Amino acid sequence: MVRLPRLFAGDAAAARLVPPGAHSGLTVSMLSAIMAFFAVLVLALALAAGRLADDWGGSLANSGTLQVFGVGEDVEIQARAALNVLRTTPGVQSVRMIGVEEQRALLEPWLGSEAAVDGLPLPLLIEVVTDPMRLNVDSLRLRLEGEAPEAVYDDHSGLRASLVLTAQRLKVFAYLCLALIVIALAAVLGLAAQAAVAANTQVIRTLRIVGARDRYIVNAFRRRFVMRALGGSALGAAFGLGLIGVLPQASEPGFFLIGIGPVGWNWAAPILVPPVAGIIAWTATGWAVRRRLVRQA
Amino acid sequence: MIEFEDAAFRYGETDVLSRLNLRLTPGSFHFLIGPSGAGKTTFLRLCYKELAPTSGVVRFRGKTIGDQDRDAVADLRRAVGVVHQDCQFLDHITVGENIALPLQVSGLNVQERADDLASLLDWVSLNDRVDAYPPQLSGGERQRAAVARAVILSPDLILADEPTGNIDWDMALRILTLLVELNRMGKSVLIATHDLNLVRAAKSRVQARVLRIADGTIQPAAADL
Repeated sequence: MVRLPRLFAGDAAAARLVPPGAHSGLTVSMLSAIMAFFAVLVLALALAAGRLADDWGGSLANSGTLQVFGVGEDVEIQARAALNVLRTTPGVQSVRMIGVEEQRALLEPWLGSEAAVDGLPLPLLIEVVTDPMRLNVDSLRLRLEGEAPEAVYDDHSGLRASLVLTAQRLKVFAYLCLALIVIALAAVLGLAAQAAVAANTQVIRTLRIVGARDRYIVNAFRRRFVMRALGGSALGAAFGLGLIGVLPQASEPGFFLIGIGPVGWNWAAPILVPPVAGIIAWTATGWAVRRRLVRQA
Repeated sequence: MIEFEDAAFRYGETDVLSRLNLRLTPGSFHFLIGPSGAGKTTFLRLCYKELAPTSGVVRFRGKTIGDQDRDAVADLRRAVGVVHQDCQFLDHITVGENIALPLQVSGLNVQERADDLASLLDWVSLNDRVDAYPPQLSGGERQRAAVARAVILSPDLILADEPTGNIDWDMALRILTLLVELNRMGKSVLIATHDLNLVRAAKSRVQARVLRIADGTIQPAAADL
């Protein structure tokens, strides 16, 4: 097993024994850059999808909405009764009336700012913050049926389930794409290495004749390919990170639940892409060169 | 040093070499003569296991080289210096780097051996060509550089395949002189050539044994060469 420091420092002279091959070198660097670019985007998507699944599952899970229907005094009577039920229900942490202005703001994205909301038969809305572990929703609904039959409690489970399912599938899809990118990069680098080895059969013969061991020859090719893959993928990853930087961030106002930019340590994940590309190059090149060497005396 | 016991090499349906029974002793000087295509190069390639015998045994320092793994074969080639007719240089590195190649691939520090390298370059009169690239060298310079590369690890056995094939007579004598000097240093030398004049020229300089390759076998040549 070759030590990594030797790969980066000691074998520079060995790598020189492999002719530069400017065309194939550019191809390896460019393909690594493109693959790394896509890998960073897909990785960001996977992490964002995972986070959204958590957010949608978590943030919405500890809240519910109580809608009180009816007109005139009946609404007030029903609302008062419903609030009494809520305040005496274990697992309900707080309740808050949603005022008319807030309702108007909620409807504005769909109806526009000029809509005559006042004329609409809107229910009275109460936001309920709960502890899902303690709240028995079925019991709450039964009590509401008895004491405030015009009040309907919605724990968002229907909406939440479909959102979480979508995010989870998106995450699986993204990781699948990431795996395909890794496979494609390995295939491309393996083929490029095979082409380079085939083009340098005479170099390999000379090295073998003067007493080079297979490991030495493999490392000479490896170093060249790993360096090109690292350089290209670092460039691609940098472009990818730059693009992610201009996407809506979860920390921005209004994007808490839909921002797909990385959060916290997620920013560090794309940094892993170039080293992974280097490891792929290392493995694929080693395989290709060894395959050729066993066919050569 | 190197020993062939009933060794043969067959390529497809053709017997290239057969019934090879011979031994090269340490410090010996041999010529292997025969027309082009007779199997001289094949014989040399069997010596450093670029080819493996299809039957029989080849031993180097008493060890059967057919049984050796690839690392052991690499080690064998460090102990056998080979001068190829076409030199087998890497054209994208300098002459100096080409000559130092066996040191480099053996993991030896080339910088620490700079003095040895300088002496070697002086011996083959290539001091002023060290930074040139192989395509920039003349035929004689290439052969001298090939000799220098073959001996840089101080091997016990030096094989030369038509080392004077592409150069003029004066330069051929100069290459011969280098090889004779190596023999005087105790190295075994085997020169494969079709040039009988070279063999005759060597007679006055070294006690050489001449082997003739014909019909796929190797026999001692007649004394009246």
